[in-house]
Amino acid sequence: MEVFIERSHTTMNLEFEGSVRELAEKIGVNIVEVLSVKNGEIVPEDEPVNNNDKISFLSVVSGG
Amino acid sequence: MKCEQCAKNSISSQPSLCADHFDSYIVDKVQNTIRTFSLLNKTDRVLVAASGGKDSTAVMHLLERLGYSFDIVAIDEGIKGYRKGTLEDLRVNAKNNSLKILSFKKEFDISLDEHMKKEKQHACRVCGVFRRKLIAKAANGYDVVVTGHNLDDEAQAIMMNVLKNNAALMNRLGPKTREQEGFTVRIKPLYFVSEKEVLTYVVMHKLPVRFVECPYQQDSFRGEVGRWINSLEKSSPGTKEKIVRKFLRTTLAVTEEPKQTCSRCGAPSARSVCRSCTLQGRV
Repeated sequence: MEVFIERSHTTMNLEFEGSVRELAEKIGVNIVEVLSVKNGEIVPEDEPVNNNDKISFLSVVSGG
Repeated sequence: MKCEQCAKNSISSQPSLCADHFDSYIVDKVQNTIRTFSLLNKTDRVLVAASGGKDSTAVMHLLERLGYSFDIVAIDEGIKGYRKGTLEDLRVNAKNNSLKILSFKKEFDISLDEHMKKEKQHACRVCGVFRRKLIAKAANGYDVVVTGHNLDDEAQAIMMNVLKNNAALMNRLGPKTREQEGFTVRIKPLYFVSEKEVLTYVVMHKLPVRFVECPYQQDSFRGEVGRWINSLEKSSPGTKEKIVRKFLRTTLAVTEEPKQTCSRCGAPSARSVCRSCTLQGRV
């Protein structure tokens, strides 16, 4: 699975099966602070994800 | 997960809605806020204070859909590597509206970056004072100024003022500022829309907004309070909305801000000399 975290501009590859919420927890991202995108589509927090998916966590905290 | 209102896949949690129903949910929420708090009339001369970021872009998109016309003002603080890009996005989004850009450099003869090299104050404090001054200046001749403040912004501001025990500042919060001589009323149509919902709306509608964080925001008190509230929101969903709704029911009803004008520039101010004049060294 490829996971992109917008806020830190990092991309990581990892093995994972579970929900988007669990994935965020695993990599230390607060699910409240991100919008989850799976294979180009916005998905809810309990969306199941697997190793074939490409996930982006877009930062909802911006501006200043 | 399916939408609460149809058989399509949902794009959001709490509530669980598909793209179409999420869109209606946001439009209804904004329309209800406008109606409930009497924020806007179709005949009002409206100025949107925009940055080109997701919040002001979303509020402009929603106002257009709801049939309101408006002009736009944007402030260029002079922050290297930050504001230029969002103003480019704003020019794309604002192609059907009158857009005026005011800069700190031109109006105060100093950019925020230059100011921060000379002063030890926190940038957000300086920036907020100068921005409000310029927006108030641009608002002359308008009935109302619209800002893109959302639920997260308001919950943060409330908790920041609680931590500072600043009841007078509480009076400036709420979906609509009180009418005061010399001030144009400021309204927040996104008052009950969370930051996450705003981004969902922007991405769903493919509005041109880039991810960019102000370099001065990192170590701000607001940022720290925001992270704290978000951790509470994660363990107790609905915390932000509770903070804001409880505030509306209690604090807003009992605070009263002193009314006077700045002895230097004549603008309405809670102090004898307003913060902007103080920062400009005119005292």
